[in-house]
Order: sequence, then C-alpha cells, then structure tokens
Amino acid sequence: MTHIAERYLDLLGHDEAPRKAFLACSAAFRLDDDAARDAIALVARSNGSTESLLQRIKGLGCVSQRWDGSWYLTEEVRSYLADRLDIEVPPEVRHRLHEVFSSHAERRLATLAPDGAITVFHTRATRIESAYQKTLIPGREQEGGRELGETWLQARGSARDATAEAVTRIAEELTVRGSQLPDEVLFLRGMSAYRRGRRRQAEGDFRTVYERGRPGKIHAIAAHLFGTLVRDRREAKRALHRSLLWDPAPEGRAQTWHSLGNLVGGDSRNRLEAELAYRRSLELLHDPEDKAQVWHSLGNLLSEDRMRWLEAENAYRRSLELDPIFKGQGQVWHSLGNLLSKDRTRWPEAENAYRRSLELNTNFKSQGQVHASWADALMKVGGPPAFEQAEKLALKARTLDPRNPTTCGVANRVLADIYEARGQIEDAIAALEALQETDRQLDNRKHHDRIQTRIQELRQRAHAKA
Amino acid sequence: MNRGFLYQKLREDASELADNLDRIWEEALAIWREPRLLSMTQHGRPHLEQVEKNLDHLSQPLYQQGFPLSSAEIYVLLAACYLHDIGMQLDVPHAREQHAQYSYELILYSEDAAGRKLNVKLPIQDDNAREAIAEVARAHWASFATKLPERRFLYGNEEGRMRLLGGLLSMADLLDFSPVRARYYRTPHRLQELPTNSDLHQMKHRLIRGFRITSPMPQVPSDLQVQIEWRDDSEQVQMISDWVLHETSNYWRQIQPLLYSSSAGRLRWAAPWAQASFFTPQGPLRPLSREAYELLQAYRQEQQRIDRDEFCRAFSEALGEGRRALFLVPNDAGGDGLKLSSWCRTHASARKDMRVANLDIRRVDAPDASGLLAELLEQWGQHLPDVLEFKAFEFLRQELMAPGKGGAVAVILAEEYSPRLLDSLVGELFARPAEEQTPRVCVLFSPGAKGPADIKGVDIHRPLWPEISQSDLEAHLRESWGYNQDEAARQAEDILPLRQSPGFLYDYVESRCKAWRNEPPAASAYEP
Repeated sequence: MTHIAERYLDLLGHDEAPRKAFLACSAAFRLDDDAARDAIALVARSNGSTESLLQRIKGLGCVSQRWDGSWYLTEEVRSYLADRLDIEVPPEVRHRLHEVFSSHAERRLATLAPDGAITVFHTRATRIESAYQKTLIPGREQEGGRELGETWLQARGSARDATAEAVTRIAEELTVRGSQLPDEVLFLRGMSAYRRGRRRQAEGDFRTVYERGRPGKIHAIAAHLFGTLVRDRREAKRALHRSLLWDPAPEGRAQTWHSLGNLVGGDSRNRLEAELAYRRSLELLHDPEDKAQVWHSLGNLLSEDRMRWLEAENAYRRSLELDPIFKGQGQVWHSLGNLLSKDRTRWPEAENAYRRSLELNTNFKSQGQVHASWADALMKVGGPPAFEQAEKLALKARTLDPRNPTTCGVANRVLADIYEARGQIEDAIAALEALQETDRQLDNRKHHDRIQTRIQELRQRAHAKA
Repeated sequence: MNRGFLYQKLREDASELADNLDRIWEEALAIWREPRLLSMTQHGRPHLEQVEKNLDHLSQPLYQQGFPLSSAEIYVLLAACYLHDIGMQLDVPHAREQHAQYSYELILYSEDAAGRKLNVKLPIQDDNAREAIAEVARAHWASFATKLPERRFLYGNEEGRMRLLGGLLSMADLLDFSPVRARYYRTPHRLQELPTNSDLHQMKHRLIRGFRITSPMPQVPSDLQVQIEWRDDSEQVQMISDWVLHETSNYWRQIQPLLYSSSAGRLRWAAPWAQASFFTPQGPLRPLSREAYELLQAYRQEQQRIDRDEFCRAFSEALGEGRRALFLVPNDAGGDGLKLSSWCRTHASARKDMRVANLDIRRVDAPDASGLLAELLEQWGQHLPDVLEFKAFEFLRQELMAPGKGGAVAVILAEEYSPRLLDSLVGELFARPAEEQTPRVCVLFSPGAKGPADIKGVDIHRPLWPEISQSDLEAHLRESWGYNQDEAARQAEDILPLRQSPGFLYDYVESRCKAWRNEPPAASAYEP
C-alpha cells in the first residue's frame, strides 16, 4: 500500500521544486514561516516561488497549524519524508538545512519573553528542536547532545520525564540515520526506559554512558543509576564510587551515598560501611524530604542489629519529623511497626504504627504490604488466639495487591500456618502451593524443598485421615 | 447610466421595448432607494449595473458565433436583471432567504391582476412578458434556472429561449464580485456595527480590486474565464478567495451545463474557469475582525468536510445546549482527525461567548501538565505564571469557575495517549459555576480514540467513525462541489480507493475538483 506521504508527494505534482520544498519541511519537528521559507529556498532553490511553495505545503492536510502560528507535518508523514530527504538531498545541503533550522530555533529562543509557564514550555520545546538539529550536523553532534542534557537538567518535575521521552523520540530518529548517539541522548533514553519500568533497556543505556564516562552531572547520574540496576554487586559498587567522583553537585553525591548504603547494607558484614554511607549522605543533604528517606534507610539498616533497635527507632522518628509527604511517612510507620513488633512489650505501639501507616498510605499496593506485615507480626506475637485477625489481615493483603509476589508470599505463608494449625489441610495445601508460585515469581528457591516436603506431609495426613 | 451592449442592441432593433425597459429600470431604482436589509452587501443600482455588464460579457460568444438574442429575449433578460432582487425589499420575515420567490411574486402581481395587495407597480403590459420576466428573475437562483422550460412565449406571440435566459442571469448574478458591493455602511461614521457574517461578506468585496469576464486565449474567443484581482496577497485573503471561489464554483458547476446546452455549445469556459491574482497591498488595509476571520475559517472547514455529520451535529448540540461533554475521536495515521479538529475549533470559535483552545500534544515537545495548561489558558486570555503543577490546575479551576465567562471548549490533538498526562488534564476541564449552564466541551483526538473511561457528570461520546462511504463522498461532491448526481457518482467511484486515508481524501478531492486557480503573487503583471 502506498505510504500516505507518497500520496502527498504525488499531489504536489511532478515538479522538483514542490517535492524538495516538502522534503525540506520534514527536517524540523516544528516550523514557523520564516524558517520554512529559508529551508525551502535552500533545498528547493525556489528563487521567486518560495512563498507560493510555502502556501501550498501549508495548505496540505498533513500540516497542523498551531494556535501560536507555528505548524508541523504529522509524524507519520514527517518521518517518512525525513528518510527521503536523506536519499534525495546531498549531504552538504542537508547539513546546511539543519544549520538553518537550528539557528532559527535559537533566534526564536531569544524572542521568548521570560515570563510564565508558557515560556518555560516553549523554551524547552525550542531548545530540544535546536539541539536535535545540531545532532544531525557533522561535528556538532556532541554540542547538540550536551544541550539536550542541559534541557533535561533544567526541567522540573514531570517536565523532566517529558524531556526524556522527547529525546527518546529523537534517539529513534538518530538511530535510523545511523548517527552515533551522543552520551546525553543515550542517557535520556535510558531515563525514559527507567521511568517506564524497562530496567534492562535502561541498564544497557546507562552502562554505555557510564563506560564512556567523564566527570559531569549526566555521566554521574548514569553511573549512579547503572549502579542501582546492575546485579553484579562489585560492578555496582564501582559504578557508584565513580559517580561520587564525577558528580559536581553535593545533592547528587548525597543520593549516590544513599544508594551505596542500600547496596552494601544488603550484606550483614558491611553494615558499618553502609551506615557510614548513609551518614555521609545525611551530611550533604539539605532537603528535608531527601533527608527523611535516608533516615528511613538508616533505620532499616539499624533495625537488623538487635543491639541498635533504639537507634533504629530514633532514625525512623527523625524521618517522620522531616518528611512532609504522607506517603513517605506511611512507609516509615510501616517500618516502625515492623521494628516495634519485634518487642512483645511494645505490641500495642506496633499496632498503632501499622494503623497510622494504613491511614497515610492510600494506594492499594502499600496497604497490601502493611496488611501482610501486620498479619505476619501478629502470628509471631499473638499465637492461636490471634489466628482469626491474622487470617483476615492476610486475606485482605492478597485482595489489595494480588499481583505483588512479596505481599502475597507473606500472606500465603501466614495463611498456610493458620490453616495447618486449625487442621484445614486442603486450605493449607492451597496456600502453600500459592506460596510456591510467588516464590517462583521472585526467583526464590531457598524454601522450595521445605515447602514441597510440607505439602507432601499434609497430603499424607489428609490421606490418613480419609 | 452608460448603457451596455445588449441594451444598445435592443435600442437599435426595438426602441419601443427599450423605452419600456427604461421605465422598468426607473421603477427598479425607486424600489432600491431605501435598502431594507442594511447589513447586506450592495444589491441596488451598482449591483444591477454590474449584472447587466456581466450579461453583456457572457452573451458575447453567442453573437460571435451567430447565435444572438432576439429583441424580446434581451427585453425579458434585462428586465429580469433589474428586478431579480426586489424580493429582498419586501417587509416580511426571511425576505433574504426566499427573495427569489418573492421577486417572482412581486413581478407577477405587479399589475394586481389577481386582486392581491399591490406591492410594486411595474409598467409591463404584456402578460407573457410579465410571466417570462418573473420566471427569469426567479431563475437567478440556479435551482429555479434548471427547472425552466427550454422555450416559451416571451412577448406577444414571440417565442424565446427561457432556459438560456435563466442560465445567463443566474451566471451573471453569481459572478458579481465587484468591489462596489462593499460600499454600503462602510464609511468611518457608520452608525451600526455589522453582524459578523455581513462583515465578512463586505470585506470580501472590499478586498477585491476588480474582476473581468474575458477570453484568456484570443484565438478561442468563445471560451470564457473570470479573472479576479485581490488587493492583498496575505494568507487570510487567499483563504477568502478560496472560500468565495469554492462557493461560486459550486453554483457555476450547476449553471454551466445548462448554459452550454441551451446555447447549443456556444457558451463555453476555459480551464480553469476562474483565476485569482493577489497583489501586494498599497496602503493600509483594515484586517478582518477576529470574529469574521473565525467565521471564515469555519465556512472554509465546512466546505471541505466530508461526512462525519453525526459527530458534527452532536458537537454543535453540546455547544448549543450548554452540555458538559467529552468526545473521544480517533486520531490515526492517515485519518481525518486533523481536519476534524480544525473543524471543531473553528466552529466553536465562530460562536459567541465561547473560549476555545486547541492543544497539540506531541512527544518531541516534551509536554507537561503545566505547559499544556499554560497554552490552554493563554488561548482563553489568561496568563499562567511559572508555578508548580498543582497550582496550574488551581488556575484552571478558577478560570472555569469564574461566573459570566461563557462556554469553554478544548480541542486536543494527541499524538499518543498518555493517561498520566491526559486523564487529569481532561478531567479538570468540565468545572463550571453551579448557577450556569454554559457548555464545557472537550474533543480529544487520540490514536484508537482512547481517553478517560468515566468522568462524573460528563457525557462521554465515542462517535461512530466508519470509513467514508461512496454515498458520503457522492453527497459531498454534490453539495459542496456542485456536481450533478451522475457526475458525483462517477467521481466518487474513482476516488473511493482513497477512503482508507480520509485525511488525504480531503486534499485529493480538493485538488481534483478545484476548478479555479490561484496565480502566485509574483507572477502578476501589475506588480508595482
């Protein structure tokens, strides 16, 4: 089937000039009349007929006029034509074309009044356009990449994610053109994948940037994120240390120290190193919310050492004081509940902590986790008299977050114990089989044999009973 | 009046009839002395004179090829020309819309032969002539012209070619693009503001420098062409030109075959039949008012729209009835989402008290909620400071909840559907003061017509969006381009394979059916 862009080319007739003019306009994501005129004059050599060619192209149905006077070709048409541009237009003309669009974008930037959210948005979009054009000019690819990286760094909140998404789109284009992707483009593609939960893809991009590494913010963040994604702990640690060396900003280094603490703290032999990492992070941080997260992590680390439970509790409480976000506080109350539940004398306080966590954590996933932890703790503390409440909590946990293998694993274990103790053999077997499934999802083979043996024993008991 | 070619012919061949025609002319001028519909473009003397000139031009090929008009034919044709619009002066509702029929009745009963109340008195003694003049005058509307008999008695016992006369008058009236028609109430001291529609029509005539009906190729003098010169070469004026020539071509296509056949092939048209040239303006020109420009865009979009009637009706109803409605419409590759989004925007903008915004959401622009809300509010006349996202939403709510601000319409064209970005944005667009019933309408064009599943208190429409069918195309070709039934069917069959790319179809239909040409400004011979 004929591509829609080919149909538009046919519609423009067999003359070279309109065809070339149309191709020229495909080199930019966003056009204004002045930029389009220069582009058409350059590529179509339209001396004298530029205006009529411009009007013809703007009159096509694949052109969308924006409210601010700028316009663009719809993406399916633009990307097809951009490929044709590569084939039909000599490289030196193409490179000058990208220079034209880049300089027009820079001029547009200079005219944007520094006022309001609309300027922030338009500045971002225009910078992306300008930088994209540069990535297509031999010798200026790195400059373009750097500008894309800076645009991302200057964006706030969801605009950062949106910038990473935009650059991912550009990366697709550059890949098709066979260009080597600048580090910043790779990094932002990785960021976009990371945000979308595509960890392996993100890891690949961050690794490349990290391995090409040099001091600077983007490379530091790439090394940091690579360190948090890669499974090999030694490699991860090396990447995190490299990030600490490259990152010029104390806040960035603080976050890396935090991640380093999380990494090494997983091994009980490195608790001291982890604690030092957390404390280093706390020294560098100023933002209370960030600090609250590190205190929370430190609390989790300390709670694993029976002798330092009091310090752990203090760390959690410090976190609660600092964290302005309910969701964050809800997680800390959850951790505090787990800590307090280890001391039978403080069980009422632990239950209060779980309740507080449920009040603050409004999403089902977090609530499911708290219900599972509460049920688990209740089994340990309360024994048979608490079975009924623990069962309710465990069932609720499964209902709230049925796809989370960790939450469901804890709930299934609790339910299996309760049903076995009550003599509900079939229910116990079902719970253990569900537990096996969640372990399989978590790739946890540690308890597989033990669970299997338990299931067999239960089946034998059921058989004997029958 | 410097009387034209046909009149002179009549004077030479039948001076008595010419004298009678003079008296009819005087009566016609008397009727137009006080124009009743002030907001309309000129329909009095200048228009009548221009139509007569057009008749002179149109009849040239007949004389050149030995197919002249008889004296009775000239008499009936010119009398009908002078009287064809008098129905507009009747003080009745819908005088403008039904003026052809009213003109017919006024002429027919101008002697009070049937004892009806005498509205006008015309010096037409011959009953056949009165009937013929009334019928030809009414036939200045193409739909009446096509129903005229080929021949009938025109004056006494003299027969004439009624269809030819009707076709000539209809074409001559259609081709009055003259700038003089804009003169009415265009003085700096005018006492009334024109309604938007009239403003647009007045500006149309004002922007025309002039026009001529001529033979573009001297060696083929029988092939006519209309050449229009516009005093500005801006995009806006080119759009006005396309609007006018699209509309005119629609009628031209209906009248032209009638003229061709009733003139035994003597009256032909060159290809293209009309040509527009645009000139660099000399001196300041008053631009179209914003409202008039929006109306122009709406008209233009409507001329080009193919089907989607159900959706367009529902959209217009939602605006008219003050509903809260979300339309989820496909925006797929090759689809007509882009075209329909323009249609929605222009039709909403052409209404009174309506804030209209359109958002193009493209991945490469790195859109975030604050940026999009800023664009939206800017189009509604509000400036959003650089604030965090939740604050931006607060601004939006304030704007929507402010009383007395009228309706709010957002037309969103999304390259891909991002629930994270769009669900919250779209969900916030329907707030309005409790005491108001002003419309809150959002049309979201997205791939696969995705969108929020449910918003409290909002009607969510997922209009049917079938492929454009042959009958849709035929209807479009008939109604917008003036093709007759058979020709529309034939054209539609040819074009039909493109229906899977309805967005392209609009352009293709236009390129195929467009019977006029716009001359590039630089090519003009009169460039200063």
